[in-house]
Amino acid sequence: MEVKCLDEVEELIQILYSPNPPSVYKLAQDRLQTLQKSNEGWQLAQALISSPNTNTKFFAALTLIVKLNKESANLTEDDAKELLQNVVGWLLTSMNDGTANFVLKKLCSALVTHFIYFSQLWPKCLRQLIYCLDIGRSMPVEALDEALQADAVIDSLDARKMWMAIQFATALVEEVGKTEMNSEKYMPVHQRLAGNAADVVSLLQRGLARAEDGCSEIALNCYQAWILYAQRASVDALTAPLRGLVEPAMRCFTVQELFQETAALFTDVLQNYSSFFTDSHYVALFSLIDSPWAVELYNKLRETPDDHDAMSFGLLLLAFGDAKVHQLMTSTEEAPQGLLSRLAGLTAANGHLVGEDNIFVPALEFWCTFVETVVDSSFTDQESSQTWRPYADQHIQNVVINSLRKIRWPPAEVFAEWDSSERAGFGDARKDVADLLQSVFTLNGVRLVSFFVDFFLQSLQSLAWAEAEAAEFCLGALADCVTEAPEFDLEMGRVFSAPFFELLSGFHGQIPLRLRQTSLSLIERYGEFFERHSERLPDALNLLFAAVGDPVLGGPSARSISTLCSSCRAILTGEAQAFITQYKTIRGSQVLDSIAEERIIHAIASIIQAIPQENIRLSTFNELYQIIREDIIRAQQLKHKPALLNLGDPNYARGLESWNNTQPAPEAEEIALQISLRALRCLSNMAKGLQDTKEPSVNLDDEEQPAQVLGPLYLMQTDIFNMMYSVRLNFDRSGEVVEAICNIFRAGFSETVPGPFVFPAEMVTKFFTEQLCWCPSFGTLLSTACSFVGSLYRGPKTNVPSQLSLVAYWAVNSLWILAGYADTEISQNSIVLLDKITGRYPELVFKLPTELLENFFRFTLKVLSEVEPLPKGAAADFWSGLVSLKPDDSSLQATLDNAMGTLGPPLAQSLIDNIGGKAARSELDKLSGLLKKLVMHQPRAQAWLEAALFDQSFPDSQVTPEQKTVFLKKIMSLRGSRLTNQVVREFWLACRGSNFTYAS
Amino acid sequence: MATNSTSFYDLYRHGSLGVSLTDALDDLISAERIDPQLAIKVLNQFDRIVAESLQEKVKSRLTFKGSLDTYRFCDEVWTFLIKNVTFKMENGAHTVQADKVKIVSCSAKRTDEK
Repeated sequence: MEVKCLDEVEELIQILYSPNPPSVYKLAQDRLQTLQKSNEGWQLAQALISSPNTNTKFFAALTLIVKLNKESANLTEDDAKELLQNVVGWLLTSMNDGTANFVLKKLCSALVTHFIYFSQLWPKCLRQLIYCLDIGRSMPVEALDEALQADAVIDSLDARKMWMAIQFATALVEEVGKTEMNSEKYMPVHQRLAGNAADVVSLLQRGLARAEDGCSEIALNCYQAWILYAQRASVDALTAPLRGLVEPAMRCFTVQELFQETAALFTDVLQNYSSFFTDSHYVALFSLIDSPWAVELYNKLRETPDDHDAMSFGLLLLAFGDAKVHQLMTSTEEAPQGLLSRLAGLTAANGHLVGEDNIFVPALEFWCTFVETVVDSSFTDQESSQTWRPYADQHIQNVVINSLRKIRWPPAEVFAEWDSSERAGFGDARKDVADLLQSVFTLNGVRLVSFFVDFFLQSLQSLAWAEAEAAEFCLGALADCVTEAPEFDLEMGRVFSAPFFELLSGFHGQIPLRLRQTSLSLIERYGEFFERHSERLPDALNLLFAAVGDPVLGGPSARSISTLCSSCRAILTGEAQAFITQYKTIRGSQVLDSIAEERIIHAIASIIQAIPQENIRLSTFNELYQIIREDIIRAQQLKHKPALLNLGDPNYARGLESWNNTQPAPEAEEIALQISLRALRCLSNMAKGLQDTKEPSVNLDDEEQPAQVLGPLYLMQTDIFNMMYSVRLNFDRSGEVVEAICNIFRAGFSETVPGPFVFPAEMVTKFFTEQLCWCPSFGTLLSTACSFVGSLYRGPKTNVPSQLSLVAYWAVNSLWILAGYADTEISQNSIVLLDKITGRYPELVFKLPTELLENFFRFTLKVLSEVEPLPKGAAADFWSGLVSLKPDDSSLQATLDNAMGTLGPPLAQSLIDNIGGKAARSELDKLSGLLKKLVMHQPRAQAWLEAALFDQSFPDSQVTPEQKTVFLKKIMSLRGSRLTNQVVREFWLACRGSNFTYAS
Repeated sequence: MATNSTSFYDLYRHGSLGVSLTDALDDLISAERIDPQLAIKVLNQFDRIVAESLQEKVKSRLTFKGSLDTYRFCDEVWTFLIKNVTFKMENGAHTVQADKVKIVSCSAKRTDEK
């Protein structure tokens, strides 16, 4: 290596550690990597290792690792031995000349990398290194005396050498642990690693005892790494000696500086590998955590839960409890019960949740496990044997009471000081409490509900708002658990009574916002209760409506109104008129949040749907509809006469919702568009609210005529349709308008009973077919047309073919016009649409103009050969359907046979290209489906597939002609059975090569 | 540290995220940007991260009610077949109905780790 080159390298390394633009770093990095990988890399490392600069030394060590990983196969045994001796020598020199620890660690990693590739040369690697450390120079591997007593040598190591040996032992297990344990290549390395266990134990035994010179801390880390490796390896020869170190490690608890590391080690092993400890270890651990010293730490934790030592102790306590939960639960003796009491006490530490008290959430996790264990035992054990149960119940009750106190919202001024993560953490902790309560409910049922109801009513009486809110939250958490049994209704009836409604209606003056929020949410969560107790429903809904205008409570209130009105619609029909009036009043005075408004519209429409008399139903609906209709007309007038804009009027200001105050005010046309969009979304919600909740009756008479919709209903449908159409025309560049209209159509498609949004098929077809393929959101239109076709199939059949012909023509003609410019959504949805029609009415498809149809077939074959997954999947489904068609009509069959004669070979070609490696792995099942159908239904499939397999365009040459022949034979003999998928997958892998077997 | 040594289920590889990740890894291997060993490591990492994230980070809840049709516990795997299921999302946002649902659940800790 020339000096010039070395200087260059050192300069490049300095660039990496100096402030420079990213491009300079990249250039330096690339150049250094090139040098590392060059033939002179070994000499480069050797030359740089003696540099006084630590960064250069680090780079030298790194180069050794890179070279070993890339070129170890090129080294002879003698080269490898010489390299080993050199690296050990460099390590010793660096250790003695005070080189920084991070370089020494990197050199250790280089030695471990050497072990991974040449473990047969120095199977007792740790002993070899200890020996060299002891004598202070690097020795050949042959010089190691087999009979050497490692203990004696380790005893003589000073602190620095001890540190070095432990560091190597840690790197050894961590690096070897990263290699595949079961692979043929690395299995011997793992076996030889295990052969070092006795030396590791000797080393750590002494290391753990040397707290005074700092060796114990790294010995604990090393011990943890070896335990976790032993867990993966599951080798007794490794686990048994490591168990011998538990007691020396436990003694480190008494060393103040080592407490956190020791606690972390034991917590980790208890949590992840509890079977590592023997019974005697558990006895010793229990004595330790039950000692006066531990009680002192526990008390400290309860008082100052943010103290690091105390927190580590708390986690250790919980991990021990978790590992021994069953034994603790079933024991009625004083000591285990004392421990459980202390664990319950962890849910009552000082301070607010998360920000100050970090032990509450982990403690709650333990108690969730405890409760689940009690639940399991209560189902499996005999009741007479459950003498422990009263004790367990008492602990659980204490935890519930502690949790109830903990989840109280802090005073507003405290909450305001919390950062976003503390706030989110508080919310998450409340959810964890909800989880615990749901588990406890399994044990205590109505007693638990009753407890919270009492607590709530007491809090209400004493005007303790935070407590009342916490109790309501807990009751809300149990909403999904309680049944409709009378005892639960009795309890909830005590809540939903006069004091509750007085509270929310402002009887007690201003109450905290959170309490109002939780109260409204409680009404929503117990919707089923109100269904059973309709006499309380008006009170609840009046409260909710009163909160709709509130900027914070409006959203949740509207959601509750929507849920309650939808589920209790039959009871509320008499209130529809009053609700419409209330809605009109609210929107006349303010601009409602659009989502809240849509929910209210949905709620009122749900009630209207349940009105039994058709004339009243229609007239009530019309009243609600007229409000929205006026919005649409107003928006159109505004668009044409911008001077009409008056933002002081809520009817115009509702178009400003999406406007950000920091931007200039939008144009009148934009406001008009927003008003129209809100109106369309309201119509969509109206349509959803009007959907029948009963199961539709199945019409077995295929020939039934569609129900004739006449009179006021037809006029209403026409008016709604015209309104939508006019919005579309007025705002013809808006994709959102198209999407909103599609949502309105969709809501009607699922209905079987005539209604304002169940438009006649002709009307829907007219809308679709008049839209040009360049219109915005054309893909959404096609997707909606697919739903339309599905709805036609569910209804009377008479009118279906004529509508399908029009829709099919519109779709294929659009593709023709787009001529290859169809986006993914259009491609996929147009194919799905034609697939749906071909499946039921193939004759309609084959009656389409020939050039359009040929263009469509070519398009699907092209899509099948491309990479876009969604259109490709749709094309595979389309062809699966087409190749398996068996029409009764002989002329149609002849047409189909004729078409397949032309289309079969390119289809087979595309399919085989995909299976031959072109397709993504995830597409194989779908393509196998098509292949199965092709083989089953097309007599000429074998010839087509064979031609495709041996065609020059076949994507890969990794498979031999024999393999292709075997594949074809297998596919044909399987005759479309499920095993085809496996055969296809194997062939795809064979074509792609062994690089792709990693995920098989 | 536990995460270095603990093995995780590869169940989630069959979900849409896992399938897409495998496709992406295939593409990178085809383009010779990575080798299969790295792809294996990425998938192992994926198994770990999904399991840990679902356990530690996901706080969303849903509840469901339905009629339990069949259940079994075999080789540490619970299987439930539930009919007429209603899923209720958090905060009562919306509900989802299903005629039949199959739930397969494995212990968070594998038997070799207990």
